[in-house]
Parts: sequence; structure tokens; C-alpha cells
Amino acid sequence: MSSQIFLTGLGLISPLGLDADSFWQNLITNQSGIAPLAKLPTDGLRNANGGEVRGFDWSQYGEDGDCDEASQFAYAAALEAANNAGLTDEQRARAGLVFATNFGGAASWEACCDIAREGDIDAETFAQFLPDHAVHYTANRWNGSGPTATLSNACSSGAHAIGLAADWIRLGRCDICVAGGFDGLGISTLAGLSILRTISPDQIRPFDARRSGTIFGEGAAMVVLESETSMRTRGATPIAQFMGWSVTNNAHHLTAPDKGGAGLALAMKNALKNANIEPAQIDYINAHGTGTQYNDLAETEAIKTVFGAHAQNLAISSIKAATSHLMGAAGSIEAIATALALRDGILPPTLNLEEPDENCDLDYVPQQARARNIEYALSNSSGIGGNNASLILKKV
Amino acid sequence: MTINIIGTGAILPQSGALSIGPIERAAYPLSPKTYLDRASELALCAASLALQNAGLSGPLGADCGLCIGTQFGSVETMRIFEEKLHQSGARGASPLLFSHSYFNAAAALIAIEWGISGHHAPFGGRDSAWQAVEAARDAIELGHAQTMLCGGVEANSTARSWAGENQSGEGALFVVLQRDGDGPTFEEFWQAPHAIEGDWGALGALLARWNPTL
Repeated sequence: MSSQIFLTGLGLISPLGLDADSFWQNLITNQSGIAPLAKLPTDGLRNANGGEVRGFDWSQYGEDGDCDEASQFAYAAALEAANNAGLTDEQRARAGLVFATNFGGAASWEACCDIAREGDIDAETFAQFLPDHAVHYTANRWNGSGPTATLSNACSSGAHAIGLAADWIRLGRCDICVAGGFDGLGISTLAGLSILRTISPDQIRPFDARRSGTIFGEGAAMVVLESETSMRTRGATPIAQFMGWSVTNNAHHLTAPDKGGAGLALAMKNALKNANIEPAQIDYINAHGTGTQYNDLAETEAIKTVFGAHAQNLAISSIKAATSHLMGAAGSIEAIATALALRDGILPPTLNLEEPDENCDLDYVPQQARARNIEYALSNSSGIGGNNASLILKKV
Repeated sequence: MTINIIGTGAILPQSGALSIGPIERAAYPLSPKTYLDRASELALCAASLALQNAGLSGPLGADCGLCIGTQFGSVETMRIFEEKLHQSGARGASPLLFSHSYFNAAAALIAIEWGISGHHAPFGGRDSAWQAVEAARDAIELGHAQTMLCGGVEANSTARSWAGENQSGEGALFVVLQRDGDGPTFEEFWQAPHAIEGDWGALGALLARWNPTL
């Protein structure tokens, strides 16, 4: 088994930038990608704002109609990550691919429903909706021969994909793996999330006393994970070291929160064990921090459970008020933010945190990015169905 | 360390058939449900058989995990949700249907039913049931879990027919893997892959290796 694993490439398509560099610059200068939604009707939704990808030009990557918009995001992000890692065509072809999504090709799904209402079916459009279309599309474009998988673990999907990719490298299934999550906004998705009352009628304000819900968005975020041997042989530059991970389930309720945060606490504990480090070694947590009343309190309680007194020393931030909640891509874009925080010694801010909640009483890096060198960082994700994923990265 | 198969459970059509017909849910020791998509129903019932066969009952806790694969998941509930949305608009959408329409719904419901709070991995795609079994073995090997419930599910439905499949098969198959457990080893359990008739979605690659004699 390979002993050490590194992140050597990053790529993303997001409301806050169409590549990793512009995303990071916007994030650490306290910008937000949340704006009025233009691509969808918003009648009846709790909020007409969202994190929409703007200015993305698929013609730079592929042909019109050859895949769903969500798969386009996934492919473009994966290509940027592969290029950022300096992979050759041969290295890219033998790389593993682990993609993850909540809803697959949401636009294609809605198109299928429209076609069915007219009494017809379109198998090709239906195929573009299925969650595994993006990974197969990418593998085909790259003449891929490596292992592929698609995960669908709700909003912990992107983090889960990175963890599974690391496991594959540890087991020797591949020495390079491109992994992350993607999703596109559809009216079905937003209507469902709206009626579940997870969407804020106001702004997203993670950990703020006035928080009233989250704001959803779309995009894709992919990383290249690589064994140390492969990285050294290629002469690639590491961005961060992957240390460990875990994915758990609250085993409590399909949508209701696990109020004490026990499931997320278990994910963090297991990730620390998997990384073989002590809680006191963690300096920074990139929180799931959705801005819902229950999540932010439960996550705070889970952090206190795992870190005890050290929780007061931790810097914690949620980037969702900047990026919006990218659903299947949330965990992987937050892993990218965590890796860049380690690389640059800059902690991204929790925007819109203006009135502290007495029960959310940790250091959430409010409003402004902060310079701080950190050694170890943890990124949390949770999702509908009660799943939780935690990743641990280290500065190189 | 060996990884052993300590229980199996399957709900499949009669030999030569591709559909199962109504499920007698009372025959399975499941908690009451407000709503169940057929894929989730088949998965819960087959998981129940596998866990019973392994002599396990919930809550199974943090040392037990779950991997499940499906290509179509709860797509029929997605279709019904979409129809109600089309008729009633966003304010009339059903939160119950939406939460049961996720691709990970069956996995979450199994975890809740048996208190499986450990490693949790829902896979999607054509070979995902077999991938889920391999991932469960990996999870034990890498120390993520001591015991793993793993398998796959596929249900026939109106929405699935939009894939243009002919002769679609439905069912659910699960095995329980355990580190140093009592039962055949992982390697000796499976048959060599063989051809099967019909289009079984995610279940195909698993069915092609399933060994009903052990």
C-alpha cells in the first residue's frame, strides 16, 4: 500500500469563479457568488437568489448537447485539475475517476419529464440525467482505462469522493485519481429544498444568531490525488497532503437533524484515527456550516465533543455564504478551500456572521479572511439521509 | 485477517421472470413507514433477510457500515414529485416525496432501520452493486468497519422505462461481510461471472456472480 497521498491538482467551476485561482482570490477578498437566479423561474421558492454559474462556455470543452450541464461542470473541473497537476494524456488516461453528485443531470431529468408529458421518451436524454453519466463521459473523452465510480451521498458526496479516491490509492488500485463532486441547479431540486424549509428566506448567515437557512448553488470541484511515488516520479508539486477521512451516518432520520451532532462527531473522530493524529494537532476546520439553525448548532456541539477544550483554539469557517451550498460539489470545493488555506496561510471568512449566537461560541473567522499559518486542517460535510464526511489535510 | 460472508439475503423474481409483484411487507420485521419508494422497500426487505441470516439485529452501531449500489434508485418517486410540482407549483411540492427521491434514500433508510452508524457509501451506476460489495470489502480491509452490509437494488417503474430498457429486472441482493467472521471467505463465495438474461441495471454484475448455493 502507498503510505502517503498528496493533492497535486485542483479544478472547479463555481458561482465564485470559473477556475481555482479566481475562486480563491474572490474567497479571500470576502466576495460572494450569490445573486438573483436568472436561469430558473423562482415563483414559490423561499428565496429568488442562488449560487448560479455565470459565464461558463461549454464550447471551449465539448460539443453542444453531448452531455448535461452538470456533467459539463464536472468535466471542465476535472480537466482543470488534471492540467493543474500537469498530467500527461497517458497519466490522465490511467487515472482513477471518482465523481459524486446528488441529482446527476438535473436539466436532463426535467427535460425527460417534459418529454414524458407529451407521451414520448428520450433514452439519450435520460442517460444524461443518470448520476454516472459524467464519470463515463470524462473517461471516454480521456480514453480512460483506470477504475471509475460514482457516489451519491447527498451533500457529503464531494468529500466522500475524495476519501474513496484516497482509499483506492492506498489499496494500489491506481496511483493517480481525479475526484470530487458536481451538481447543476434545477427547479425540481430547488422546489424540494425550498419546501423542506432548508432555504433561507433572507441571507445565508452561518453560525449567526439570526441564521434562517442556506442558499443553494451549482458547480463542480475536483482534485487530483496522487501517491507520493507517482508525484515524486513526475516531479509534481504537492498542494497539500491527504491524511485521512471518514464517512458515517446518523442512523436517526431521513431529514431531521441529529441534534447532538453525534454522527458528525463520529466522522471527525474516525478521520483523526484514520489520519493517525491527535485532536490537538488540528488548527482549522472548514465547517459544513449551512446556516440552518440545527446544523450550525449540531456542528458546534460535535466539534466540542471531539476537541474538548481545544475547540476554543480552533479557527473555523463556513464558506457557504460566499459560494452558496453547492450540494454534491460542496464537500470538494470546501476541501479545495482547505488545501489552499494550508498552502497560503490564509483562512477564508464566514461571511454574514455579524451577530454571534451564544450557543455557537467558537471562533468562526467572521466576515474577513485571516492570515494564519496552519499545519493540519479538517473539512466537514453532511447531507440529507444523515450522512457525514470528514477529511483531514496537512500543509506541505 | 480474513473477510467472511456471514449472511445473505435476496428478493428476486421467480425463475425466468423479471418482476416481483407486490411485497408482503408484514413478513419482514420493519418499523412502520409513512412512505416507501419501491426501490427502498425492496432494499429494506432484502437487507432484513441478510441481517437475519447473519444473526444480527439492530442497533448495529459504529463498527457496522453499509455500501449499496443502484443505477435508477428512487427515480419513480422523483417522477411523482415532479408531476405534483408541475401541477401545483413550488409551494405545493411534497417534502415527503422529495426526501425519499434521493439516490441515497434506500441507504439512509437501512442505516436508520438497523442503527448502522458507521461507514456509509451509496454508489450509483451500472455496475454499482458489485462496486458496493468490493467497496465494503475494502472498508473492512482498511479498518473503516468490522462488519459491512452490502449489495444493490433496482426497481421497475414508469420512470425507469424512460431509459428505453427492454426486459428490465428488479430485485435486491445483500451480503453481510465480517472481519474474521464465521462463513465462507469473500473470495470463495462468488461464482465466476456468467451471462444473465434481462437488463438488471446496477444488479447485473452482482447477479452474474451471486452464488445461491452458499
